[in-house]
Amino acid sequence: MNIFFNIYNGWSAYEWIMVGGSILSIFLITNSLTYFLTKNIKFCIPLSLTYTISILLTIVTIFIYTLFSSVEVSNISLISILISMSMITLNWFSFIGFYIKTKSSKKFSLIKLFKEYRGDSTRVILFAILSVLSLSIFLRGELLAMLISTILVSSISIYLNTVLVRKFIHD
Amino acid sequence: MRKVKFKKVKINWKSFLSYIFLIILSSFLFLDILIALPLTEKLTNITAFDLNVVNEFWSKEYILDLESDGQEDIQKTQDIIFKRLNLYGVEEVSVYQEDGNLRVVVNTSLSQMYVEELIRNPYQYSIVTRKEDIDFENEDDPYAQYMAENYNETEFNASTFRNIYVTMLPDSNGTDSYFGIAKVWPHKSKVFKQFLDSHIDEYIGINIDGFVTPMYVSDSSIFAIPLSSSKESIKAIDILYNSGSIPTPYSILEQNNLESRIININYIEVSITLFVVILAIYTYLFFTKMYSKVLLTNSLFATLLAIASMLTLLKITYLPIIPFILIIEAVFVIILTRAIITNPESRYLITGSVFVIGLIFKLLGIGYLRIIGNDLLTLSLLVLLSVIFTNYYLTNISKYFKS
Repeated sequence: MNIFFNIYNGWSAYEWIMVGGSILSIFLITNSLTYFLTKNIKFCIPLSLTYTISILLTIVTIFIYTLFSSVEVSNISLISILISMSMITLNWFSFIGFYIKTKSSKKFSLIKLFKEYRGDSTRVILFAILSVLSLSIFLRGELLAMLISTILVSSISIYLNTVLVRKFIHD
Repeated sequence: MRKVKFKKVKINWKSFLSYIFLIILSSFLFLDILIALPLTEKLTNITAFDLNVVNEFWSKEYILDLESDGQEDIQKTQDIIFKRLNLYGVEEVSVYQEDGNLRVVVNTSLSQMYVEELIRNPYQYSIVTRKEDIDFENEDDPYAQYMAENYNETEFNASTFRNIYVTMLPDSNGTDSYFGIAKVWPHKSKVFKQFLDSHIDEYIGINIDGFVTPMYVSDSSIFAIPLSSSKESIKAIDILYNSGSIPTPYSILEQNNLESRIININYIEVSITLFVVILAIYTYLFFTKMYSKVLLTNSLFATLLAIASMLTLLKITYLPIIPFILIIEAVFVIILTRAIITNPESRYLITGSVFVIGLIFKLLGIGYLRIIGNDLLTLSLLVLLSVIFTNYYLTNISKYFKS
């Protein structure tokens, strides 16, 4: 039950609606919450772009894996989307929480905020990579591929998010 | 005789109770860890704390021959069959069109009998009335009441009802049985009530795929369909009634057993590995001096507690768990715990967002996404509780040790 074969042979409308609906709901809810907490629409741009990049990266990673590996990639690889979206979201809301806490203080500066966010994101990436790499010795096949691709996608997306935040959020 | 005077001892009740509370918490902590450890069930025969590990999967393909050639009917049937299997919790499903037929492939750990029931039955149902010229009391023909040809069709079918609400009600013998309460669409409720009024104290029937279940109408205000008494089958029946009406009859053209796909992992090895991995990561972080010692200790303690509580909960509730999902969730718990403990200002935001993501995938996810989404609801709360517990426990216990 190769994932691309399934999709190519026609996912049912129900499958498209459910998977699309889940991703869209997360996209809308997290963006609305971000706007509600920050009252600044600029914060939503990096988050939206990061989600989009992470989904595209997941698809590309799975596609590359199916091309170069003999292991069949099944519906299990869809878990990658859930985990990477959750990781991006938890990292994002740690940033928003820190922003809300510090924005009213006299010493607040965006440069400091970005620096703190980049540091925290690096620690999240390092922690995630360490967790998966140390476990990877004991794993094989599709599960190993799925976990590595998830961590790869999440790490790239989280790092890109720190770059996008600098680009889109100004005084 | 001299009176012995005792010195009045002042007890600091607050401190005393807090001390007792800490002792109770410590007992729970040890109990939690003891239950979570692999093979602790060997220590006692009072109760078995085994993980309900799902290791047996089966896989099969079914080719459905649809009577209709219309693309719309095929598409709708495809959607409904997928929806049924997804709602039942089948881990891997594909339903796709092939030469005008539908090919359904499943790979699951769930009951083959009920999964096949969901695939095989179109479950097209309608309300029927008895033909007057048939003798339903004839002892030579006991099956007369079950044959669809002995009944007249009415205008009422699946499209008449909004949904069938499955619940337990007392039956004519006074024992509780499962019934499906038919909720009629508002624009059809008047006509349907008139129909029931005209058949009060009579037998009518519900025709499901050509097989009739007789029903006695005693009250026109409620239409309760008698269902199976088995608790296991009721979930499948509920799904069959409420997952939509299949527009065309179909039959199974072919069915083939396939090699089942399961990522086999020894959970005992994995539990030990996870423990070693967590210690290795924290040792590495300790030497990099990326975090303060207090933060590292709290984070390590909270992570171990969260994973131990996760395993304890699984062992106590005996919920079935697929080993590779356990690994994915454990990795996520490690990352989530660290994120919550190092960002106290965002603690509730992070937990809330993970909870919402879990809820969305539980409601809208398919296959494994739905299973993990469901688990994330519990895990996010478990991690938050572990972090709160860790902060309270370590702060107070160190205070007592110092004093």
